[in-house]
Amino acid sequence: MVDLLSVLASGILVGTVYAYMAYGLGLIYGVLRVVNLAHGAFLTLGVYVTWWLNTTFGMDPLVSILITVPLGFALGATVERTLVFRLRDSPPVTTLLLLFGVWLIVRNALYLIFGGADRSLLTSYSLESLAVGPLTLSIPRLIVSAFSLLGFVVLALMLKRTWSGLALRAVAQDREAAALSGVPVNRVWAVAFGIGSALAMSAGSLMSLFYSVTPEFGARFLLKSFCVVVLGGLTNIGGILVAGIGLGIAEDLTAFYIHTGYRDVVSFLVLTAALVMRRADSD
Amino acid sequence: MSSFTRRHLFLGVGALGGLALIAPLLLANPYSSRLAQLLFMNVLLASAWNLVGGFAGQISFGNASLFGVGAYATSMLWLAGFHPFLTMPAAALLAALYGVAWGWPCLRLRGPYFAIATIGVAEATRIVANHIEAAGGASGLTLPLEQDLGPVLLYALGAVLAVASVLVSAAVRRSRLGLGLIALREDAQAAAASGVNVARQQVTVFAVTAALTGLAGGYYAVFTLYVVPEKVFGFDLSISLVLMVLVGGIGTVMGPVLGAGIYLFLEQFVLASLADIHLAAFGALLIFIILLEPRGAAPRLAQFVRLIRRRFG
Repeated sequence: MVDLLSVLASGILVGTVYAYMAYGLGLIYGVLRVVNLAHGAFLTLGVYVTWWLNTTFGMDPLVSILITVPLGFALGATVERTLVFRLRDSPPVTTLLLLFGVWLIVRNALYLIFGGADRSLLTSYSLESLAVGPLTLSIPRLIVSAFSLLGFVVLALMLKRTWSGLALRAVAQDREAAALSGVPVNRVWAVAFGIGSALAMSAGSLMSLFYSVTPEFGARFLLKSFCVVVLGGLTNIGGILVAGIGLGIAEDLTAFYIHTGYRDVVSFLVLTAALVMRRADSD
Repeated sequence: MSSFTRRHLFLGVGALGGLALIAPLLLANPYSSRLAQLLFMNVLLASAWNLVGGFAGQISFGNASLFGVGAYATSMLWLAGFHPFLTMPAAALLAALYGVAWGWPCLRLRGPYFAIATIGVAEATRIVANHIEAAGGASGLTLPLEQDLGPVLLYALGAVLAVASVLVSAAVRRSRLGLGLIALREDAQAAAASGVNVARQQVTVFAVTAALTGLAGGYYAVFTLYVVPEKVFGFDLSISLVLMVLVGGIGTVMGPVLGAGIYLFLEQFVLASLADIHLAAFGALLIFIILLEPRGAAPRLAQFVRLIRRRFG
């Protein structure tokens, strides 16, 4: 019973981060109708920037979010302006391939700069834990989970309350109608890609607290992000949160009761099953 | 098959004859015969991918899962005592079965959804393959070196497989099935409305793709004598197919052949000296093609040939 409870608790904690990590992908899809295969690149960049700031300046990963968010925004908006924008009337698969090219370049750059070795980031609280009744909860996971939830609240408020949020939602709903009502669609696209990338990079900052830092980081979590977004409904904040937690729990149950090696299989199978069941057929 | 004309047979025999003529050149040393083997494998893989990826426009990032099944089928049967040639049909059949098993549900998806689903399937397959102890687990299988078929037989096998795959591709292109797929690519709803059984046609052609990809896997096992999950089920393999076809010319019969050749050339001669930026070079190539030459090299080459003919013919 205690086993099951602690598996559930850890699944929930990881799941909130999964949801946060995936949200940028959903936002970009919702607004631009673009499948951002470069999402993995931004996740990995976030992890490396955070790791580098930590080892060079001793900066705490949570503080480095202040850097990864604007950096992610700038990089994302640049990619949109220089590359994605050119393909705005092409079939979605071409943009997908283009962004895949971006990912390959970033991955290679990281290999060149940092090498392929697994690195990890240690803080004073990395190994701390908190006893709650019979459960032992890891402090970094609690913190990261809390930050993810906070990020969600900020994002939800932004989308609901600000003018930019309104413009984003308008373009997501109907690009032409939004353009006719005077929404600067081009700028909204760049902003959406920027926000999506900022979310991904800051997710990297958070995740650096308990995942190892390698150039392959993004490959692993890109697919999990897809899984969460497809399960949760592309731009539905609540749905994505539930899906993230669901995936976190399912993975931890598999790792604990079946085999740790099969942890990652869960997300791939769930992803495919979810896609097929949704029969999402919009081209 | 009515769409398989005598002309095709002619061209096929001609191509094989040509390959036989230049065989002594390519078999001159171990390196050039390895290049020929890789070229045959690439042609087979790219033509197979193009059946569904090019004609139907369903981009698969998961063909490594089929290649791996073929490679393992051949390896395990060979180790069980069967002659490598006899293992080839099994490789094709098992890969086709596996392809239909996941293609049947996934091909109902279109565009980016299908592409993502294939990544999911292929990665799941790779992880599971790493854990199957009976198949050697993560360290893979080593095949009996002393039973190596030798360069001549390997060359002949590769040539036959490669030429056959191009003929299959030409036949599919001209058949009702192929026309249905192209209609589907251009407008799925209109195709369905004009009586194309969208789901069944795609699955049928995907089974052919899978069988050919499985054969390529079997061939790979036979000439490398070593299969390991990270390689034969690897994501890099799936991407290289997409690149080959895009470079050569997607949705054409000769595009994949051309692309397979260009890709091999780039991989062996250009990237060998740029090993450190291998991935980035592929990424840049991908971006370049998508932005500037989305139809690949084949239309350019056709243009060039026409130009030459006009001038000299």
